[in-house]
Amino acid sequence: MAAQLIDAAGLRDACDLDLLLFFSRHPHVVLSSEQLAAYVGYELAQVARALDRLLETGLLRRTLNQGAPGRMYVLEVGDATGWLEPLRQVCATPDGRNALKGLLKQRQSQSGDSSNRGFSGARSS
Amino acid sequence: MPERDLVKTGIAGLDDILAGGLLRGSVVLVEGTAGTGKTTLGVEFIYRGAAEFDEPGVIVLFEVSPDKLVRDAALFGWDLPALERQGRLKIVFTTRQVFQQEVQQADSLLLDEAAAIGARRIFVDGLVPRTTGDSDTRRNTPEAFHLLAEGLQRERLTAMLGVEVAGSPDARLGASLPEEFIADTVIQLRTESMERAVQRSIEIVKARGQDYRMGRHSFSIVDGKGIEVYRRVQAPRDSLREEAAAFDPSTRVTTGVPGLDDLMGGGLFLGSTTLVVGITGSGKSVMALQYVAEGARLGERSIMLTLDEPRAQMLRNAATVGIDLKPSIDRGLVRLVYDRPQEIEIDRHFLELEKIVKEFRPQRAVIDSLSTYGSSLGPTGRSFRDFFHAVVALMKEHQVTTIYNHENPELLGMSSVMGPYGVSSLVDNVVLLNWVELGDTFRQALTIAKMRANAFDRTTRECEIVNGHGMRVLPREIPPGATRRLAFWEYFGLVARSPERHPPSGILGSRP
Repeated sequence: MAAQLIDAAGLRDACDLDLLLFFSRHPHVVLSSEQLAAYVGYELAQVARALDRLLETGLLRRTLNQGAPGRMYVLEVGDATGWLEPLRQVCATPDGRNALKGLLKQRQSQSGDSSNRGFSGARSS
Repeated sequence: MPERDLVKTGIAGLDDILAGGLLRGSVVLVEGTAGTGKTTLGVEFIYRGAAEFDEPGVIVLFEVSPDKLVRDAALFGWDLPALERQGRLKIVFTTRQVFQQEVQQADSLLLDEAAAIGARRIFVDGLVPRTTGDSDTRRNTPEAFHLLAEGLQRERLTAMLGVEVAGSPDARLGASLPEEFIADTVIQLRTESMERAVQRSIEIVKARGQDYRMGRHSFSIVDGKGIEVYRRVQAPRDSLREEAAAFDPSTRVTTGVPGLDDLMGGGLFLGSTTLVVGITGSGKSVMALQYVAEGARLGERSIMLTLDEPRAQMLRNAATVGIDLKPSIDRGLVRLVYDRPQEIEIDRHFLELEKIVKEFRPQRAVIDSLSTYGSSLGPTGRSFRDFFHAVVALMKEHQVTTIYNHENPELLGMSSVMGPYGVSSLVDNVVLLNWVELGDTFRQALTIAKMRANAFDRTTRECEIVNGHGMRVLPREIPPGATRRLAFWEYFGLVARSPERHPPSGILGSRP
């Protein structure tokens, strides 16, 4: 099941997973990039890549305001309801979250692939 | 005078102490230490606005994550996600710094989001005031707070701001936070230790441009409901209550105790207040039960409020004197109300009594017993006297003829009617129940010590309680054929604890 959830969500690494989980818990945020990285707990560059992937899929909507440090991020669940909630439930326990992270790490080292395959996002069934 | 545009909070009891609600567009500071209920108050303000008053709202969080807030709100039955889906609520997570900057900008993302749903209310949770010399950048400076308040007012949002304070307001020795001068309304929440219990209180310290009930009012956070504020018992009620007639001297209310109405000139006056005083076992509760049963017989509604005995015990006690209250209860003529005396919250208790009196509209009432209220509240403190004043005024406003039982600790005779309680001047009538030791037997004595505006029999009369039959006042003369004993009139000093026989007639005179 863990593998299916990873595929449905199009997750690539642990930062993708934790960023997605953060937005599922905070579906409406106004934060600067640095603050977002601090909340999620990864390097700014990693978070920026994961953000871009999430934005491309349409799972996340971002609004900028010129001159203001904060950006508004809104999670647009849409068709992702089918896999997002099960993903949240699996990650509700440390064991579940660690299992998914372990699987992601395994896939990363197996593929040895740093390509931009990322979130399949809200639009996939 | 122009009508004020008041925003109802929808929080039980809070609009009452705010004299109707909050002025629209106010900035409301809600202060308190951790755990005092600021978040619950603010969330309920937004929830009620969106769910009940068609006023969408925004909740801004700095510390609590939205999913925890949603989870906690569900305990009160508040479905926040449903309101979000309906476009009536937005929950935004941000930092204090970003929020401060957002609100100061005319084209703010956050305020645009609020405008998009037509928000009329906003709750910001987790502001922290900064004091002079404090270098913690998380905390707001007064200038920053001023700009924040201006920004919110520009948007005409009624804003509730939860402010964490380090110590209770009392510990600040009257010093105000700078934010308090800027805000339109300041509400302080406290948790106060009372012996081993903790009581929550809410105080409106300031409310610019509107009336409010001063003082500390108690409140509870109730699962499934939310916050319930209980206006303090000392707070003035409707002016009609203060002007209510003392009693109706043209109408009598029968007591249900055979022989007693005759001593009173026909019974109690309608709407009068009667104190029945006696040691435990002297018949106060029996008299009260007969009073209630009499009311039911006449089709009059009665309430019996007790801190002493649960409902089942009261029904059992009534059965031992031949009174079955259950049919009267089922017919809606009698209501038994029991509240636990331990750690009683007197504001809540009084509010519930008020509600019962207004809804049930009793014609008779028994309060059993004042001494238990006294021991819960302290007989010499203001709380007991204020509570008693408030209850008497309530009953008089509604012309409820009320009996208050009071336990006097003196076994034989009475040196004082109410001891340290000292509220006997408030009552219209006083009935004393005493044990009298004559020979080797304790006999029961009843004396009417006071009846306002009424001629009454001042003699101490013997009474008896018979299992299955209740109490009755005995005739002054022992009937022929009755068990040989002397009538009370043959003694003097009965209540003075040293009864003596009158000299036999024929030596110094006839019977008194």
